[in-house]
Amino acid sequence: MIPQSFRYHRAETVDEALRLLRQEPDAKILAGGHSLLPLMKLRLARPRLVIDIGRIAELSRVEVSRDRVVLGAMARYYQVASHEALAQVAPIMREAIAVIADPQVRHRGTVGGSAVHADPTADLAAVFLATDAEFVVRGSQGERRIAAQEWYVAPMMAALGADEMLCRIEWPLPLPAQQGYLKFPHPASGYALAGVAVLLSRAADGRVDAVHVAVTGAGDLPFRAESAEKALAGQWLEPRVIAAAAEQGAADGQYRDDGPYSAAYRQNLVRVMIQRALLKVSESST
Amino acid sequence: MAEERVAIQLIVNGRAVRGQVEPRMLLAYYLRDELGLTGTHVGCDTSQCGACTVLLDGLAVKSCTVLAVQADGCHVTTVEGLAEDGQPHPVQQAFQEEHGLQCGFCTPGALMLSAWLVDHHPQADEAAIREALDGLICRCTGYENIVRAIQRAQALRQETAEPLAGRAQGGVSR
Ligand SMILES: Cc1cc2nc3c(=O)[nH]c(=O)nc-3n(C[C@H](O)[C@H](O)[C@H](O)COP(=O)(O)OP(=O)(O)OC[C@H]3O[C@@H](n4cnc5c(N)ncnc54)[C@H](O)[C@@H]3O)c2cc1C
Ligand code: FES
Ligand code: FES
Repeated sequence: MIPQSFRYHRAETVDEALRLLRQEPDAKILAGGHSLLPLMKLRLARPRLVIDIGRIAELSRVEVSRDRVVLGAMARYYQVASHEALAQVAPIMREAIAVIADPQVRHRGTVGGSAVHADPTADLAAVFLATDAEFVVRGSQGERRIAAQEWYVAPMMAALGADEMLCRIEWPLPLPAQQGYLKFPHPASGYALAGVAVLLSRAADGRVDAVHVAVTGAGDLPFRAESAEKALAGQWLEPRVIAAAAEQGAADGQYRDDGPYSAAYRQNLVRVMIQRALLKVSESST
Repeated sequence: MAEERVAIQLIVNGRAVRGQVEPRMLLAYYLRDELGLTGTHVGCDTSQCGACTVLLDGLAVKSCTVLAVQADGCHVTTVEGLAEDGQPHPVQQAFQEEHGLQCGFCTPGALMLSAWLVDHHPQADEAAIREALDGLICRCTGYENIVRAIQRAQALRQETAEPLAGRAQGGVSR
């Protein structure tokens, strides 16, 4: 299978990529290519110009400072997963990336590509939502920051303009220390039928201090299960409390019948997965 | 649309090659059709099966999902270049000893993925090996002998204690 002909330009800088993006309305940014190239081979995407950002050094950095994590949009999965300082402050990244596809895909795919592709079954969508990631995009008007909750606007559509690029993904530290990602993969595609990210911290007496729960895969869009968070606030994590929170959190999603998986099945799966993820994280050490 | 061609230069199996390629040329086809390196197989052509796996700067990638222009300036190793100084790579010897193949169609990809694993994660346990084999669909073997072959290759690697100097770093997260 061969993509339709296109012009190719390897951008040396972000500004150069942005200039090309403005000049050619029918252009696509190429990062890891593991969502774009399959679409181009199927001719579901037929850009006239492909702008390769793979060699722009500033986009590949991974930085962990005292109060911030900065992931360049072009940071590849394997690179992020093997970053020791990041694993100290955000172990959930390593855990979630480990269950994305296979080693070959993880050698090419990028965190920014996952974010911009905005597949509602992408594993990192749940992680970005649960960690309150900030997406820093650049366009002709300069940079702006978009909160994760505003990012996933529609299936396969992120909140960045046609002439904008994602430059980096950031989040403030510290994050709640107990973290985990649990995935129920689709048996054929391996994408998440449901994936749940949980971040948790507890007060000295064991009650929930902060808890973030986000869900990918099952719903029309990835979402924060805010009702679950509310139900857990200030509580001891007893099985009864967790079960009730999972039930309420699952109801926060919008589901529809799709293939063999009914909306009711999807919501129930999310309930079970939130429950399991909360149990797993509450039993983990920090 | 006019068919633009782009000059590329890469090192394939230790040999410098130059070419003029259409941007849409995939690395798998460049290797097979332009360089005649037909050891790299195209199975699914949809990024699923891993038969087309090669090493790009030392990392296992699916060459049906990489443009030749993206490999410009990089080192590519195909199954033809896996032997080191005329000696079969440990995975080649181990696949033979442990019967890690049947029809052989997936084998070039299986060898390249295994070579990456053995060279970068020499301590990978059975669970990690099986996890990595997520990147390879073999219709014949049922994987048991492939797993055994990789474990044998790890042992062979250790016997020769070949240093990894000069190889690019890559990692799975376990
Ligand atoms: C076999 C296979 C299995 C997979 N399984 C999973 C899985 O289990 N879970 C999962 O989450 N994902 C999975 N994926 C998808 C994979 O994670 C992709 O790599 C990822 O979705 C896209 O990242 P990329 O860097 O490859 O992006 P690309 O394919 O290069 O780009 C994707 C889209 O984003 C745009 N884009 C990329 N970067 C930027 C930027 N910085 N600014 C603006 N636009 C940009 C591109 O124009 C394109 O539209 C799988 C892919 C394959 C091939
Ligand atoms: S031919 Fe490339 S993954 Fe199947
Ligand atoms: S040996 Fe036949 S497909 Fe693997």
